[in-house]
Amino acid sequence: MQTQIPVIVTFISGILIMALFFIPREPFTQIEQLTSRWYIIISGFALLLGIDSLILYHWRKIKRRDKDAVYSLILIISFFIALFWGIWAWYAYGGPFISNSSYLWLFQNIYLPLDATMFSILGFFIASASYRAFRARNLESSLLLISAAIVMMGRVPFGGSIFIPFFFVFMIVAGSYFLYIATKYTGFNAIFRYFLAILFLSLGIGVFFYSELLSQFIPSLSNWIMQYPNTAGQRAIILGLTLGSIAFSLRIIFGIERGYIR
Amino acid sequence: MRAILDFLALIDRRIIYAVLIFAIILPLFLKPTLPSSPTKEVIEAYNAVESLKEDDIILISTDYGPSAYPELQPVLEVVLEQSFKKNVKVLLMTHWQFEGLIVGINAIEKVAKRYNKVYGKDYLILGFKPGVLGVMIGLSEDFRKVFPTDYYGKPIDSYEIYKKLIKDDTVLNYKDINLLFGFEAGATGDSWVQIVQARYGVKMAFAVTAVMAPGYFPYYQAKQIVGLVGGLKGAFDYESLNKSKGLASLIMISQVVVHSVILVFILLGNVGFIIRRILG
Amino acid sequence: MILDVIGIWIAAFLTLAILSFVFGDNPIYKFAEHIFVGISAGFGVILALNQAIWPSIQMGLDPSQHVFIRTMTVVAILLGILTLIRLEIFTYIVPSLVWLSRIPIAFVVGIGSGISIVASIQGFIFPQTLATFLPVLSPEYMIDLSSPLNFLTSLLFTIGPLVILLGVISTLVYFYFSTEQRGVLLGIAKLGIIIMMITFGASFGYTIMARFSLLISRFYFLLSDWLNIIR
Repeated sequence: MQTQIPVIVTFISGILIMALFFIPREPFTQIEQLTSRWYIIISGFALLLGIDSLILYHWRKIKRRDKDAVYSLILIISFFIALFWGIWAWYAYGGPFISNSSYLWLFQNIYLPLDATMFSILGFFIASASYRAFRARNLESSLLLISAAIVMMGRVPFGGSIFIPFFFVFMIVAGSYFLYIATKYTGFNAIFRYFLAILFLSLGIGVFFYSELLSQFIPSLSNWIMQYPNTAGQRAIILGLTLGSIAFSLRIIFGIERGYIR
Repeated sequence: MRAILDFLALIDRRIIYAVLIFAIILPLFLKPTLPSSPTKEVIEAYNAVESLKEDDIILISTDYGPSAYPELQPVLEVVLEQSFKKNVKVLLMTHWQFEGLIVGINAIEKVAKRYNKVYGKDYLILGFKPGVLGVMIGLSEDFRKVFPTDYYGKPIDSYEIYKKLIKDDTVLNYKDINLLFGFEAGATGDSWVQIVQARYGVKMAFAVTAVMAPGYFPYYQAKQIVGLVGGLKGAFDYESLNKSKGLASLIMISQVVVHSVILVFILLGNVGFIIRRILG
Repeated sequence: MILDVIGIWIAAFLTLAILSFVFGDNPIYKFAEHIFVGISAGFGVILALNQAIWPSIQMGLDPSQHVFIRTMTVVAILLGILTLIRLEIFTYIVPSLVWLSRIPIAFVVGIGSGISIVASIQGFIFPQTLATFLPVLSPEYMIDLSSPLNFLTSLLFTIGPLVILLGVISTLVYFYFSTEQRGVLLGIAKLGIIIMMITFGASFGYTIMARFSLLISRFYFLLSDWLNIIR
């Protein structure tokens, strides 16, 4: 019974809300509205879930006198400061989030810098990772590298002009590389690599004569990448994900997937 | 030679970090005026707001927190400016818990003061309600059913603005909304499109963080949304369209330098890598 | 305002504390991190009480509402309270009743799944498929022969819809025929890989833009609001 009732509830509510979608008339619209309001109210209570576990977890750490217990103490103290300050502000200003409430001071000066900086330090790691990982090992990784570079430079002012010297160096180096390895192959493989070498070298040298053109072309090209190949790729990927999530939702509704009942 | 190549291919991360810090800080002192070349999707988002008339209604959903502040807050301020200039009625709501609520309030109070707009007469802050999907479906019939009160706790139909909002009928719902401008740092934007746009046909434009932006281009191409402002570049272009100089314009110069520096590092790594390969 | 000044100094200290993580984990970072978790939990509780739970209770008690709406609201609130049996405390007090909290959660999960199935089909699969099968040459752009640059740009944009059509199909082919790729199928899948690599590259470029605009804005805060060096 402890699992059957929830599974039945999920089944009925899932099927019901899908059926209601196909009957947009009274009184069915009213039922849809009612379920959506229930959904909102229950979700409101569900916001409180998990917070108690967090606090109890750290409380236990303090009681056990773990070596990092002092941080747990800091966590619990800041939790209660935020909690009681909020209750006080609610009482004093008529609402904790009112624009002149002192509760916003806590947000502005403690929460905001912490949250924003926490995510910003990823910048350092992503930069060092891209230096380490973006190596033109083969065709695929070269494409990844070139498309990232074009989008990065096409999305800042003067990006096209800044891009030119990079483009020049990269093409010369890549051209000489292919020229070098072409000597190690025979037949079609060699011809193909000679072709690439000549292409890259001439593109690199050509930049000198058409630098103006390239600097104007990079922003349009990055724009084009975003609007067409990126749209195509994203669409195909999200289509795949969406089909997967539909299958998963159906498994939930039909009671095959019961992970949420724990 | 060998040593130089090894160095190029394996620069210590602390050197990279130090160079990046300088690349961020030094340009900030220059404060130049950079040229902007807005892309089509940004211009269309701007025009969607610009085409609103007096007493039209714009519903703004601030679904982001401090971690998207520099990318989205400048756009939010310009959108509010555009709306207040034209006496468009502004409704503000959020799905993004207290973060979205507070960043939204900060922006709207700041801009409203500049244009002498009165709360309850020119704009209304609906606040936050949990349960994204429920909220979106609930709003289709009557905003009062989801937001019986505004964020001050007063009934929303007790305000003067409500008579303007309901237009010809007796309730406020998606039919009355002329434009929904979503500020998205997560998946709520997808729900706005997939539920509210698809089912109720609300006109939508979005400002999204650069991390989310590539995933919104399919919606733009399929004309499910009318405009898209992505990342700091989008925010910078949006400010320049309005000829205002906000946070995005101030920090864009560092962005240029940082992108170039990262490209230098990637190039150095590759040159070292390729030449080492040739030398065997 | 003395409070504002104190606030900026605290904010600057916390910003630097988090930034110090770049040079390795350290006690100051841990201190700031735990403040962050504690504060956000506190804010979360206040938000739930102020914006969600209290307004619901008010609505349930509001005599001006129709009696049916009030009854239904009260039922939902009771279901909401049932969810709270999941709180850890109740697992000690009434362990045999904890399973009851699954009922409202099952309701929320059921509704959520149902809505998302309909929304994905109506709001993503249909419109996105339709937008893929468009005339392969865009009517919005014309081939412009005035200069080599304009020619190249206009050519790329004109064939855009074709790129989308081939790109979507080939990427899907790459996804769904992952076992047997031979002959023509292999060629199409190769195109799919190329499209995906360009897509990932674009996403990566955008991600770098996002992370750094945030980082720059933190440094901007330190230099302008805190140290007052710029502006």
